[in-house]
Order: sequence, then structure tokens, then C-alpha cells
Amino acid sequence: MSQVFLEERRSYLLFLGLLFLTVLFIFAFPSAVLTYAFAAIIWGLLGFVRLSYFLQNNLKPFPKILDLPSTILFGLSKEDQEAKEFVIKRLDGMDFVFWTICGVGLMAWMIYCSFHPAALSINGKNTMVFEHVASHSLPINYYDLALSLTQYGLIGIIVFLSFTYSHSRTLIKWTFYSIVPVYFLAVISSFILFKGALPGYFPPLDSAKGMGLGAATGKASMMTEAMRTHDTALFRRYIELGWVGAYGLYVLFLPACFLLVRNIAHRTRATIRPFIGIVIVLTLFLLDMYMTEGFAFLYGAKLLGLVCFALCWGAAGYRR
Amino acid sequence: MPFKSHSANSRSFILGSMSVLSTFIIILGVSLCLIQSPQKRAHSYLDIADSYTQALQEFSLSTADEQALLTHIENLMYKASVITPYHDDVSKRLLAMQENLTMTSFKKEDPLKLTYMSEISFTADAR
Repeated sequence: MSQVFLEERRSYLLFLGLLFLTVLFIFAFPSAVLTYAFAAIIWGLLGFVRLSYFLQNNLKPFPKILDLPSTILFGLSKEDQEAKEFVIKRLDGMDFVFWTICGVGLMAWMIYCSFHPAALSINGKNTMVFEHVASHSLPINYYDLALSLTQYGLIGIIVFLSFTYSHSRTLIKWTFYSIVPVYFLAVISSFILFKGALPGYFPPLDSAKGMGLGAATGKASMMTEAMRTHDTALFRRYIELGWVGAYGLYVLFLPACFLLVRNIAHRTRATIRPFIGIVIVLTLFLLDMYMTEGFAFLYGAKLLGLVCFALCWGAAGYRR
Repeated sequence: MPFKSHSANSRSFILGSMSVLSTFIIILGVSLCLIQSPQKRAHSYLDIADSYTQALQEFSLSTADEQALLTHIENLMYKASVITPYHDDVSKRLLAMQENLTMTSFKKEDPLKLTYMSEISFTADAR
């Protein structure tokens, strides 16, 4: 078993190193598209490596003559397999299945909105430029579309990978000592460095469909001053994906939040990890609804927060 | 665990979805590297600018909205010229758009102000 966890630790160290490198590059070069391109390739490959590790069946046939070396070897192989099964069973839980179904649905919605964009009316105010330009069948900007899809895809694969490491208390402890402080530092810095909008803007449920991924970046420079004050990530999602996409993203967090709150309420279970998970998810929502500047920086910070959140969520579902 | 597994299919669904996601983002990463070609990016910006110019000509907007739209078009053109300085195709297109835009802005009752146009660079051939 120790050998398995030693492997897991090495693999997690690689994961942490890559995560910090990705976030560092995003912080340092916020508009460098190659950062996202290389990150997507590396994280995609890492996803495959992790998946192949889980799918590989290394349970050897039971040896007929049980001498000591073969018993030890067989035992290691069996425990290795059991550890994998432990994680796969967790992935099999309804909360993660729900998250995956919603995630796939959201990605499909993003692609649909991008290829069939809607003319959007923003709250009935200052809509002139928006409506005219939108009804003018803008060509699809494949460049912005690919960039936005890459950013959402990266979030998906990183959350999945973090989730698969949530079985080990040691790895979670490492995360709490390394990523959590950096995340909160990034959150505090973003509140100091960038402007925010209070009380925030909550898009009305008038337009289900949006103008497609990448549309908000183009529209930002045409916004009137009044609209620019509530140009948050939530508002941009509303422009791109309609209210379905704007609020749909929050639905992904529902089962995890339910599980975390349930664990906090359950006195016999550990409450610190779920509590940290809930605090992180609240700060993530705040960044999403409040900040009106520094979107690349916020994206990096959100990646860090989501890793911690996924670990807390995954850990909350294991029976100890 | 409060959420119990419903069927063995969910396992293959999860692992299958994650494999598809991994493949998808690898393809996207490679595509981004390819689209990164400056010329393609510049043309992509100019396509949008073209569409906005058409909107500027066809719709009757308020002067403030027209000015905002024009500034946005100029921004896009400027971006394209910065990405591919002195590329022939892009320069020719930029020059044609500049002429078109100048005419459009002068035709308006209140001539619109071109802010960044002087900063957009072309090749000598295009001129």
C-alpha cells in the first residue's frame, strides 16, 4: 500500500507543480494565448495518463504456489487495485455523475450558442448597439471561441484530476498548506488591485440563449458607462450564454455544497475540510458576481480555488 | 456516502466523458497554436470589423452609439495591424477599410471622429 501511495504522492506533486506553473504563467502573461494552448495540451495528456492508471487492471492471477515473494507481490498488486477501485467507486457516486452530466450539458450549450447566436436585450436599457449588431449576424470568431472553450475545458479536467486525489488525507493536507494560502492571497490581492461592483448585477431570466462564446470580449468596448459598472464574469456569461449559462454554472456546485453542508451538520465527521470547502465556494461566487476587472488574474485564482474545493468535495463523500 | 451508485453504466459514462474532455482540450490546444498564426488572427479581427462597419452604414443609431461603434472598429483594425505589421494581404484590406470608414464617417450628419486611424500602419505596396 505504501508503494501505491508513494506513487500517488509523486503523481500529486507533478499535478501541484503543473498547477502552480499554469497559474503563474496566467498571472504573468494574462493575454498570452499560447499559455492556454500549451496548458490545454499538457493537462489533456495528464488527464489521459490518470485515466489509463485507473483503467489498467494489474491484478495478476492468484499464484498456485504461495511462496513468500509471490505472496508479497500478489498482495501489493491486489492492494494497488483496491486503492484504484476505492477512487473509481467515489467517481461513481451520484454527485459526481450529476456534475459530469451538467458539465457536458453546459459545454454542449456553449457550442450551440456559439453557432446559433441570439440577439440579446440587456435589461431593456442601453440596448441599441447590442441589438443592432447582434441582429446583424456577426461572423463566428473561431479564435475567441477556441480560447473560451479551452478555458472552460481546463477547469473541467483540473477539477476531475483534483477529485481523484481526494482519497488521501496526506494529499489534502499538502493542498491546505500550499494552495489554500496562495488562493486566499490571490483573492485579497484581486480585491485590492481590481474594481468591483456592489450590489452586483443579477441578469434577468429574459434571454435563455446568448451571443456565443467570445462575444462578450468584443462587446465590452461598446458598453455604455452604466453597463460597464456591472461587467462581471456573471454578466459576461449572460451575454455569451444567456441566463441558462450564467446561472447554469452554479448548478454544478449544488450537489457538492449539499454534501459539504451535510458533513458540517454531521457531528461525527470531520468539519474543518467541509467548512474550508464552503468558504472557498463562497469566495468563488463572490469573485464571479463582484469583480469587474482583471479577468485573466481571476481565472488563475479561480483554478486554485476550484482545486481546493474539489478536494474538499471529494473527501466529504468518502466513508472513513 | 449519501449518494450511492445507480448502475455500472455511470462508471463508463464518467470515464468516457473524461477521455472525451481530455481529447477535446488537446485538440483545442493544438488548434489555438495553429490559429495563433498572426495572419489568421488579424483576418479574424478584420472580419468582425467589416461586419460592424456594415452595421454602422445600415442602421440609424444615435451619434454616441455610432461613435462608440466606430472606435471599436478602429480598435479591431489597430489590433490587426499590430499583430501583422506590414503583411500584404492584411495591409490591403486595412487600407480599403480605412477608406470605406473615412467615407462613412464623413457622410454622417455629424461627422464622426476617427481616433486611432493615424496609428494603423500599412505596407508601402498597399498604399
